[in-house]
Amino acid sequence: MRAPALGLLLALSCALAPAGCAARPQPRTHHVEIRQMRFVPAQLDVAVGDTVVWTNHDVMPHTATTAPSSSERFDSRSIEGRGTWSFTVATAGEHPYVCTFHPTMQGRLTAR
Amino acid sequence: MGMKNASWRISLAAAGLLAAAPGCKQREERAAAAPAPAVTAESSAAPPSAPAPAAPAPSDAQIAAIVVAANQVDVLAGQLALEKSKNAQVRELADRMVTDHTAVNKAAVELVTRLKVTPEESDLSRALTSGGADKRSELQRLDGDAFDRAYVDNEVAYHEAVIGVLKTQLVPAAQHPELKDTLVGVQPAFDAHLQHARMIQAGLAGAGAAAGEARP
Repeated sequence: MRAPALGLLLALSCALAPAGCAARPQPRTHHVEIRQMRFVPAQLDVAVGDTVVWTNHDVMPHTATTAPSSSERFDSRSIEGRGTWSFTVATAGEHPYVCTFHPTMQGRLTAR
Repeated sequence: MGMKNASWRISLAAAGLLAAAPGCKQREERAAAAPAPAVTAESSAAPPSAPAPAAPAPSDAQIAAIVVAANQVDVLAGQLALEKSKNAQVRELADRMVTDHTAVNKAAVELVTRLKVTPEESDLSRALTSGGADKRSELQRLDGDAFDRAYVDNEVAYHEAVIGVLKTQLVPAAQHPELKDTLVGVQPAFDAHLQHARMIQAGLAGAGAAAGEARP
């Protein structure tokens, strides 16, 4: 008895929501590899609510840290070799980021 | 600065392993004209006109020792800079060199241990080690801006020389695929270090020029 009642309740809430439940995509997880002193992919399109996971395949530590021009703010601090760090995007916009240890390493999240 | 930058090339060339390195055309011509037997390592004071030997390709065991020596030289130079420099950018570069080259060495030692390769000294590994000791002695005698400029100049010259050896000698000679992949994999790090050092070098040169203009 309880399960059909719950289903009916969910269906009602979907029907009442103007945007509709099916229209809202589930948050996704994206992966950025840090390899040979580069972020791969360097450019990534994400949605607000998505999670980005950086995995460091180099032997030396790196960071993923937003540049001053970014409308989002994140700073992994040191990600050791073979280490990972993740961040859930909260703000739409362009989010350029760098490795603060190696200024030549640059990446960008475009969040919608 | 030209002489300073040349010192690492001369030092490594004396060990016979820069024949095909970029910027060493004269050495290539000499090597082609008069191949010589292997010579012992010489310091950076070696004359530029020293005859160039035809270098045999290093073995994997020799490459392992060269990689360890090359990284260790830069770790020790970085540690000296952290002791002596008060310049934030120079200290940041030095800290990065210590961290990164220590990490590369750790990975290299883990790899050769797993591959059961015992590092074997060669003229080049000995030239790197002795050249590094000579350079640290020079740097030790300097202070302030003079130290900062000399340290950063050396970082630029050293990375240029090591990248040349890596690309033209070590990678082509490496026999084990994992060792070759590791050498290829660290090249971008060395390139990034070189760019980082050049950025700071340009900043120090600009600051020096501005200070010179400000003097009456």
